[in-house]
Amino acid sequence: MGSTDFAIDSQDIRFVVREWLHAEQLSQHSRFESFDADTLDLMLQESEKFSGEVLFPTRKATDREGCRVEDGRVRMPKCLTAPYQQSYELGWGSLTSDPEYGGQGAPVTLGLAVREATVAGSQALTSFFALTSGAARLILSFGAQDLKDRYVPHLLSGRFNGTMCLSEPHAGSDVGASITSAVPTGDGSYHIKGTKCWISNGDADLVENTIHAVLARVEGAPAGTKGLTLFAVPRVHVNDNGSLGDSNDVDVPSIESKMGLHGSPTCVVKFGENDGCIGWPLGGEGQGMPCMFQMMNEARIGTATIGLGIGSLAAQNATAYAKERVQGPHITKSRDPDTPRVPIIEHPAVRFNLLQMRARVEAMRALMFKATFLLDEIATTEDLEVRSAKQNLVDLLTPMCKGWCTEVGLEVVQTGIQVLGGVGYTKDFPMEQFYRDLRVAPIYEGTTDIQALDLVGRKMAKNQGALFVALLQQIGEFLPSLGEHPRLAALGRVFEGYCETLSDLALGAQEVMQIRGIEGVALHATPFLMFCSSVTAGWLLLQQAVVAHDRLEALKREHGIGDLETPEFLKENPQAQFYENKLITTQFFVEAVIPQYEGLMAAAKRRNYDPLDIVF
Amino acid sequence: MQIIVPIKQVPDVALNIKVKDGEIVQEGISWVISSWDETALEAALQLTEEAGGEVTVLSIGTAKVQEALRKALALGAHQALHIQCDSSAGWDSYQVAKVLAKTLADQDYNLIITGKQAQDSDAGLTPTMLAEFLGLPQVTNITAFKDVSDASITLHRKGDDGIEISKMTLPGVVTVNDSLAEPRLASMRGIMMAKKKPMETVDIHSLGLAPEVLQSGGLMTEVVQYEKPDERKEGRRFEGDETETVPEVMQNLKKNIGLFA
Ligand SMILES: Cc1cc2nc3c(=O)[nH]c(=O)nc-3n(C[C@H](O)[C@H](O)[C@H](O)COP(=O)(O)OP(=O)(O)OC[C@H]3O[C@@H](n4cnc5c(N)ncnc54)[C@H](O)[C@@H]3O)c2cc1C
Repeated sequence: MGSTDFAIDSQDIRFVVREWLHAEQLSQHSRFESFDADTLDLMLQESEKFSGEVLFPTRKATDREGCRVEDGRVRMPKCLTAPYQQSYELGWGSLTSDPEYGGQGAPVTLGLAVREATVAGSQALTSFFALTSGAARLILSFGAQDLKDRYVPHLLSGRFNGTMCLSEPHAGSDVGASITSAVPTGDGSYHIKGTKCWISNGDADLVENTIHAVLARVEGAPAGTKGLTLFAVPRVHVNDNGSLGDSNDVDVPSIESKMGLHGSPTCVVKFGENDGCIGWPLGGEGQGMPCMFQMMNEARIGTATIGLGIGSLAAQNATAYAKERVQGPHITKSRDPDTPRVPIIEHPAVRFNLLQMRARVEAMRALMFKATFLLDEIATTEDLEVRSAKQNLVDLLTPMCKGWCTEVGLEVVQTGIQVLGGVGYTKDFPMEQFYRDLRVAPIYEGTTDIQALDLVGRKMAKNQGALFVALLQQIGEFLPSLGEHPRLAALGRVFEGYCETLSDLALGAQEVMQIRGIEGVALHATPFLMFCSSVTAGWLLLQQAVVAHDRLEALKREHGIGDLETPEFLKENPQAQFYENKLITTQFFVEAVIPQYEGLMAAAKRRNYDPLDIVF
Repeated sequence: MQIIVPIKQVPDVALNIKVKDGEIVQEGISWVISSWDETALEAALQLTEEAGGEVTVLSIGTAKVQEALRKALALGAHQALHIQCDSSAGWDSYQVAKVLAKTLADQDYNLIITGKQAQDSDAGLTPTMLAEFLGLPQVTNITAFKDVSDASITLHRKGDDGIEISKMTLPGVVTVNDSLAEPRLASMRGIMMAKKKPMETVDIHSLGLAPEVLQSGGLMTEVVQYEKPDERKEGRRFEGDETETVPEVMQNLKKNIGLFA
């Protein structure tokens, strides 16, 4: 693998899916019976091959060509046409969707593994897969049978694409300010009128039709989010036999000119300019936000995958570059002018950067796979109490995944550019494009600040903090298992310290409320999200480290390796080296990375409210 | 048309392979179908898609080769035959051809398609020996099939002086050149269907082979040890406009290896 090639950390993904989570056990449930160990392994392997061979070659051309509006239609980069078709023909596009309507019905854990590969291959096409399956799921969950039959099979076959239309010029983070209107026609459908903006994939000549999931306010409904209803609005009507009928008065007059992600058109979409746009409700009147949240939660985890997938690719590209690039003497021989120059991977500062990247990537992967695996466990558990406990944890993890992984993915790419030096800043290497493409992830699907408010204001406040307490309890139950651990005991104690800080900060919020009110709490919400997510990811990495340690010891026993021979054994046995690296990465994450996020809490610890007091 | 495609599972050469004490370190290796065999399978699938019939994939080895067979089933093969043995490591082409010939002796088929060589050993001997043991005609290095019927087939072969066109009566053995077809990618549905397709496992000892065939005495050639090839020296990239880079390259060739001196 070179510094500009496609790369997936298939060894870590396989470890996470098969050795840590044991996702193959989901196949014991009838819903996932086709997804046994062999099938999972083959799917991981083949999705990687597909992403590397079919999707990745489009990345640069997509960026250079971009999308444009021509004769009222969005023209996509030509290089995407065949890969888009093939994605759906091979089933990677509608991986986790309902098999009854043409999806593959895969567990979302597998879905995440595949998405990590496809997003590294093509962030643009992955946005199509994700939004379209999200829209299909909304229709399946909340739409009338006729809508399901009319739209969903075409969405899941890739013939149509789907969107989510929340944002309007005056309603970004504040979705409740939407003014797009809906007026009943009398036959169960509604006239839709209004302008949505920032709509990803609002039109594309890759598809025959687009089905928009639109939030609009029914005449007379209250202001704010409570007055919003969700509608399915096709660009072109669909006849009973599946052929396309009349236009539905949906127009895309323009697309945004952006810094990156040029293969996903960001559209202004006008509904009902000529009073001829019809939409059908998904869920009841006033239920728009709760319904849309189903798609948004999915989309938030989907957006987090961008941080993970691109971050992982950047980390591997940077490592490959550091092995290739020769520059300067080794620090121990820097006084000797005749000493050979060394690859930069031998410079301590570069190694520090590379491990910063790698540790963050593995931590993101741990957090995200935990969240998706919980979703699969929920789908295969009958016990209501267990389901609700797991759902609570997912609710807590969702803003962490979205908020933390998108920011951290960006940090990883930013470090990657630094490792490459000058060429990292040029278009000869893909790193700068990774940065531009990924930069939107902390913005859309609710900015990081909005995720932090969701975590602190909604999820942690729910049931008097019961969700957060349950998380700390789970961590608390795990920690004693490190007590006597030969490699991890000391690390466990370091980690315990962060948990105490986290708990103190959460409890301290009461006091902050009394002194500075809700403003004071909100002020430190984003740093809290970053710290809390890093601690949660650290807990999961420690779990993985326990597994890695056991496996390593088993391998050593199998080969009759004693402690003295271990260094030599690690050099020649890549699997053993992987387990050892997992232990090192975890240690570095706990000792060196979590404190970087803890540092963000300095202002909160000192009860500093300067940003509220300064006059700008 | 009934087609047999024998496939070999080989270490993925794209990954870093480690050698210790003259042996390849097994841990951390990822195993794949030898790429020429993937071309052979693709050819077989295209032929049956065109002319009807079924493709049977066949592999000799431990339970691990079932992964390769399952991948072949996911790509579209109709059934698989696994000749189970404790280890086929160290076997030479002669032994493999003997086992294949014995296995296929009483099977019904029109065509055996193989890769022109295996990606790991690069020997390219097995298919020819197999044809010999089975008493079948063989054409190697095929780039295209024409006029397919159960009784005969027209073959385009890449020879020394260009494309040779020959007609072969069936049954017969052909080996394929990788320019024949681009192997397809597996689909999700294909992968899920693979589990439901028949895979028969036959114990190698039940084939009735002469005992010496399976022992080291059956070897005609022996790999004494493996060595890692020397690392290739790092290449150098010449960047910029060709008016600058070409003279620079010439200069380098002159200076460093005395070319055009
Ligand atoms: C490429 C791209 C694709 C998009 N795709 C879609 C799509 O498909 N569908 C769709 O509906 N929308 C889409 N969006 C819109 C996106 O969701 C919004 O841009 C995002 O929600 C932020 O809204 P805004 O841009 O209006 O910023 P604002 O809401 O104006 O936010 C500006 C800043 O203020 C902060 N802020 C705002 N309100 C608060 C608050 N209450 N508390 C704390 N901080 C706050 C934000 O964090 C941010 O830093 C897309 C945007 C982009 C850039």
